[in-house]
Amino acid sequence: MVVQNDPVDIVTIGGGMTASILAALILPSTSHTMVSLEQGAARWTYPDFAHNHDSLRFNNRYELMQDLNQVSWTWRPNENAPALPMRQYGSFNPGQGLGGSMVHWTALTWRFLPSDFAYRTHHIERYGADKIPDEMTVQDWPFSYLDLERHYDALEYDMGVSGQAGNLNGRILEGGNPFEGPRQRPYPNPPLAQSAFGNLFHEAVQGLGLHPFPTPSGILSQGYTDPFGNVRAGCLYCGFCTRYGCEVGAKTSPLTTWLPPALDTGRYEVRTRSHVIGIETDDDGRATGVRYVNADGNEFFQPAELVITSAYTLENIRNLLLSRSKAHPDGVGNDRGRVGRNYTYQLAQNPASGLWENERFNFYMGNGCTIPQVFDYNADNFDHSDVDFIGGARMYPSAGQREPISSAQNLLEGLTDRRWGAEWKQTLGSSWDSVGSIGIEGESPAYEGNFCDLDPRFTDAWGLPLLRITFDWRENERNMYRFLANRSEEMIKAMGADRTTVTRQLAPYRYDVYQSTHATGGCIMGTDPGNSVTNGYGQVWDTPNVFVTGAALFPQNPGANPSGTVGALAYRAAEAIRDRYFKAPGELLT
Amino acid sequence: MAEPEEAAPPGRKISRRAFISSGSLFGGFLLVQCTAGTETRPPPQQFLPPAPPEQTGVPAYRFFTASEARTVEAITARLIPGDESDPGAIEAGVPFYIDAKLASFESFAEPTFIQGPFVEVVDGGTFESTADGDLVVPEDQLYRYGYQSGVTPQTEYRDGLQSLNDYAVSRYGSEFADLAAEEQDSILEVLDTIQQRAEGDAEGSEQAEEGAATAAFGGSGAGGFFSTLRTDTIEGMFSDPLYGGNKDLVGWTLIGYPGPQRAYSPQEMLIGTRRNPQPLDGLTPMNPDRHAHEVPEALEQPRSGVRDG
Repeated sequence: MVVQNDPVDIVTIGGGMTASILAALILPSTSHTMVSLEQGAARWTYPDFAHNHDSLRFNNRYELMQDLNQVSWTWRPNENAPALPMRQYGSFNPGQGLGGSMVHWTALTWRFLPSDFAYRTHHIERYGADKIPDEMTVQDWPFSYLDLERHYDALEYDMGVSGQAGNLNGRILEGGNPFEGPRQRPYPNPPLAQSAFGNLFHEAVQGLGLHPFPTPSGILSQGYTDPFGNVRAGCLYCGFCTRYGCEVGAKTSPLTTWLPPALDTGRYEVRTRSHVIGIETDDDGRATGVRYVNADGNEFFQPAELVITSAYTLENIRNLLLSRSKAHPDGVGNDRGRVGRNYTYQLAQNPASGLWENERFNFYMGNGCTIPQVFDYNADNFDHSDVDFIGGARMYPSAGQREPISSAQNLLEGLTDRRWGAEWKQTLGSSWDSVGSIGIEGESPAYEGNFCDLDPRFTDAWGLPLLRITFDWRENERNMYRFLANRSEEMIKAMGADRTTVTRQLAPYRYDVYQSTHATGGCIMGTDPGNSVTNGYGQVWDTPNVFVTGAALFPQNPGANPSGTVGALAYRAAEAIRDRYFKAPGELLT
Repeated sequence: MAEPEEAAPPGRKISRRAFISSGSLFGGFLLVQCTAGTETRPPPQQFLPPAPPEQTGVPAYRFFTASEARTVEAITARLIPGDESDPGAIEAGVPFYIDAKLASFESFAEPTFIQGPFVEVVDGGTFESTADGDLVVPEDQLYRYGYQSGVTPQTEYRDGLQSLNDYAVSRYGSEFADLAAEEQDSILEVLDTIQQRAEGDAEGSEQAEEGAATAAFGGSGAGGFFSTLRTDTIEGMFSDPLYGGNKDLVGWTLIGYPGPQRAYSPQEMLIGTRRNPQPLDGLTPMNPDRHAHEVPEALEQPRSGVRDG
């Protein structure tokens, strides 16, 4: 017995960042109605985050993450290997609940670089077609950095991003990121306070001739009233940030920013603990709405003119693949077999660590953004003529928010003979706050052999197939890693560490160790249905009343966190939907 | 530990780190296929910290037998050694933390996807050579997938402690708790090496003792058991005292961590802080209930328009 709900104009699968952006930008100036279906529970800054400094519960037991008891994703390194589910949290941590992963994010808020948007063209023009390995399926984005600039700008001001401009309308400013694309305005708030270790890094890499600048962050460095009228407090540097909800609302999330104006319209509803099980289509292949199951196990159908899959990357891919019908036998958006292609990730590693005897850095304070970054070895900011790879990474020193349990597990890797016992304990006691590392967050190019499809064997709590990921690193990334490990070593030595350890080779990808929640691609944007799942607005080519949001749209993943661009893409889509889509529903936007 | 139910295809040697059919797994309690809406994640309140009996003032074990507890105490005492002047795992109450964790959760303390089928592991071979198998992974690749055994922590401890003692008796003639510290360390080193070798991190070639320990564990994961022990010991040493370990904040005092605080100033981030460590329940309430009606407007509170579907 499926309950039929009253139709709405827009339904979204997921109640996180992009859904709340669409609601806040589309609803206030229109008469549209919108519902978001969120699989997790409701939560608010107060009272839900008022008592959340329990690292065992939030950091080590994944309180805010998607419930692995019910749904997982299988993985295999290649097509010969069996795919097995992530049985306990490892490689990535998608969140659930009102506000989605943006409630627990670290809040680095980047703009991608101009060359990231013209990825294939840029590399061929500068280095020739032979520079790109045969198996690599990297491509250009369907628009340029300049096309997205005003959306980045609006997003940064709505969020109150803290940072320091490096390129203001073409003028390079001292102290900012000299490699960034031109921005029309400075950041709305000054950078966050910097940590002791961050300052040490800053001076050392400047001495190496590099260009450090403060991390642009979606955490307020001071009180801020945003353009919606939300009144917000500045960061308290408490040290409980990534994997926690912010108890003062300084960390931007849908709760602090987009949900209030959206809900105030009275035409937006978020249904929590509602798990979507598929997009329905009619005989013509047009979407009619979504089916979902509520917490009591009752099934509902929510009709809508426009269906938006706005969940985590992997869920968005799976939502399309699960929605099989006569009209779309392989799933919505998959008439040309492109769904799941160009699945990419993030090369996130800590190649070099050091121990500074008799120094304490107060790593347990602050957050993940209280440090400088360098972009000198990111993207094509350095000449790749004489290296055997393309791409690069942002590089940065250990940030704040060190948590005792998980850090004690592996902080001293390579610095003590044994991982336990008297010497280990003594070193941990004297040096827990004296060990820091250089991190890299590197590009993940797309390859023919890295993709997602439905698993033939494993099912979720609702009996639906899990998504299967086929993914491993390639020679290009191993070469890139070796180069970046050497740069990391130079940095850690320039910082004057008494003891250092360097991991020189990139190990094969493993599924059980946390690296990054930046799973990207799989429903990529492009110029035509032959090379992509959606157009530049996230509108699905073969089912134009379905849109996809989020990092699933990225043709390949640059060397920077995705959320800033995820947000800007949602701003771009929201404007097109609000101003143009409903004039001719179901027509492709141009 | 169940043996494989089916014979291996010819030419393939089944590892004794056995594959488990999902049916034999949960003899002790019922694990039903989740239906939609089943609230499967244990709420944090389900965690029951050890309660000291009124007479003795010493916590009582709720999961471990007396003999198991003795072994766990001996192991944790070597993983993080200590005494009254320099507290370690015993002084921190780590064995009670582990006991409370095992007693509180029939299955796992963290969200875990526990539905079958489970993988079969084979000695040697490559993905190419095992590609015709159903769910077969060469032993040296298993680590890349993380936890896959289907064994629950309660079973892993019960069987693992027994196997550890079997190995101690076969090697030194006594149970683990009765050995000299150096002998205990030798045993733990072997287990640690097995774990590191499984992840491709061990130096040198496999030693005879690794084979002996693996055999004593019946292939059920000597390295994995060590990993669990070490992880749980670190959790008990450094988690909030609420959970039964880190007694008197000795873990946090050891590393110089002041525990959860509400805020630090930018100056403290540069020069440090002189605060005394405090546990979670020492944290000033953010918004005392008596002020609930005057919460600053900067804190977003529940709004209409959000409800369970």
